[in-house]
Amino acid sequence: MKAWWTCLCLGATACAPPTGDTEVAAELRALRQVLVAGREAPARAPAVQVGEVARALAPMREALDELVRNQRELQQRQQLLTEEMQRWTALQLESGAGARGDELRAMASRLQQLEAALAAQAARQREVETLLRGALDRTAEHLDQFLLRVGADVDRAQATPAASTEPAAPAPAEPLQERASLGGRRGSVLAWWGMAGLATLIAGVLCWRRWRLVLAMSRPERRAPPRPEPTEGAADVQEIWAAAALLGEAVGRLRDAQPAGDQGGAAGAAEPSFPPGDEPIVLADDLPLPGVAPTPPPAGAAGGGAVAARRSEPAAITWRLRTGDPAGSMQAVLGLLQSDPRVLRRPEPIVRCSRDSLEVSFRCLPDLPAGERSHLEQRLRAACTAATP
Amino acid sequence: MPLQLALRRPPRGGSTRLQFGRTEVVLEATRGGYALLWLEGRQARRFALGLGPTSELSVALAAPRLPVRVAARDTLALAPRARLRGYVQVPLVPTISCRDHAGVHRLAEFPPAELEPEWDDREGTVWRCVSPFHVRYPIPGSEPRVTVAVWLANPTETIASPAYLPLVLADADLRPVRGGVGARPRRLTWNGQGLVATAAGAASVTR
Repeated sequence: MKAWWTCLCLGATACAPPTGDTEVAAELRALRQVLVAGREAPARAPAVQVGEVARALAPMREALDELVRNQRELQQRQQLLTEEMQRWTALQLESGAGARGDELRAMASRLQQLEAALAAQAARQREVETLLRGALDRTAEHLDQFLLRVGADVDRAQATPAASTEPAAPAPAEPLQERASLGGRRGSVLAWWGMAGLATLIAGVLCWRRWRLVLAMSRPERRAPPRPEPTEGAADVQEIWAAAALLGEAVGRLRDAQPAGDQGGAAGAAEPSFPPGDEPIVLADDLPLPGVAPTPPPAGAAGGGAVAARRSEPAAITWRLRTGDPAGSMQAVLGLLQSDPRVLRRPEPIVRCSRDSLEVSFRCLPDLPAGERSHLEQRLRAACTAATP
Repeated sequence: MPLQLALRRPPRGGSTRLQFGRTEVVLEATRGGYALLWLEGRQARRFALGLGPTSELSVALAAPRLPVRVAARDTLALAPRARLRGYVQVPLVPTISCRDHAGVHRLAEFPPAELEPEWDDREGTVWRCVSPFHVRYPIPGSEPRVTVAVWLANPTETIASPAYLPLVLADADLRPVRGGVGARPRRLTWNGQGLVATAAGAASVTR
């Protein structure tokens, strides 16, 4: 408390012209004020001032809390919108055939929902903007009233010690200079509070401008005017603008492709005829309808000759491979037979080991060309050769 | 993913390259014929080709010609009178075909290692592969695979837990769908011993 008043007085005297008599008078006056203030009302003014400051800044705190919350919501919405745009772009790129009318209709309805959500968000942002402006106005009024009250308190505090000390000690010889010193001290206190209020106002205005910039960027009806010059933190806004451009492009394509999808192919026409409980999944469907004869088996897979070939058990192939290391070669040959897609896994290939050779017995795919069979034999022989030390 | 890519015949001394997935095909015109190099990861195969004056080569992703038994990586279990829908994937077979005035001929097939042939006393020779039971399409991945939507139904009063899904695929079934390859959906019904393919009307199970 004493130190605070001392600083105030020193600050006030620092504003006066530095003459020797003025300084001595100011020092005496300051000491007297400190003694009187410490005797009469210890620690009254600072408590009141802290409460006043907190009360004056309460609307600003509420507004800043609201601003932070809204910015967080806006960021989440931007992320959701970007993901949605990516999914739409992927779907749109693959819907060139126009054969999925249901998907296109679902995307169009989802687009309308998105537009409604964007309009609601814009209205809410306008409300928040109004709220923020009102909070700033209220804060400015509170600060003005607070500063006026502080000035009045300071006047009263200066008038009281002057009246109490006047009978005991006569006034100094330079009343004009002392008055000037008092005026400078009061101006210093007022300047201090003014600077604090000004700093608060500047911070508020900066926050308000930033919030207005975010609002302007995210408002859909303001896309056509020239974009504001890039500022710090505008990368997120640029990203959502790119997503909005993609959205517009996807909407245009969807509206163009909607008639083609409705004209549709067989899949779209057959969709309502699914049995109950068999709602179509994403893959286009051409299942035969109920009551229609099942699709005949494919000719390539079930032709008469092919079926006969695959239903007749393939003959075992037995080769004798000469090797210098039968044990090592057997592992290599077995590994090769178990990984070659031309060799049947069941029945399993059999490798018998003798003194200087391997006897390999296995079965191959039906209709395997002789060239492929020869290639397989070459691989087996090469494996034996490679395993020989 | 295109199902078929034309492999142009290069001029003398030149070469033509094709790349799909991790496979690369190089066709070189040599003295007296052509040389075809098939590179797939660490494996490579070389063919010496003699082509007629009107022969045209192409590289296609073909369906496995034998029936396929798809073993689901997840254990499948269907309660009595329940049904289950999902997707399984079957590897496609890269095939080099030659077209000329006599028709289309398969020059070479390169079945992937995921397809394993085996003999079954009842069905004959079949392919066997393993696939996760997907619930969403498209399925990410760069390997050439066909995605088949399957409807599984259990009209019996016992729990059905099939070991594999029997599928028969043909080239005519394949079609590019949303960045992948799809085939027409299959409806399989549990008959007490295994899943059998049924028509759409016969497989409906009232709930």
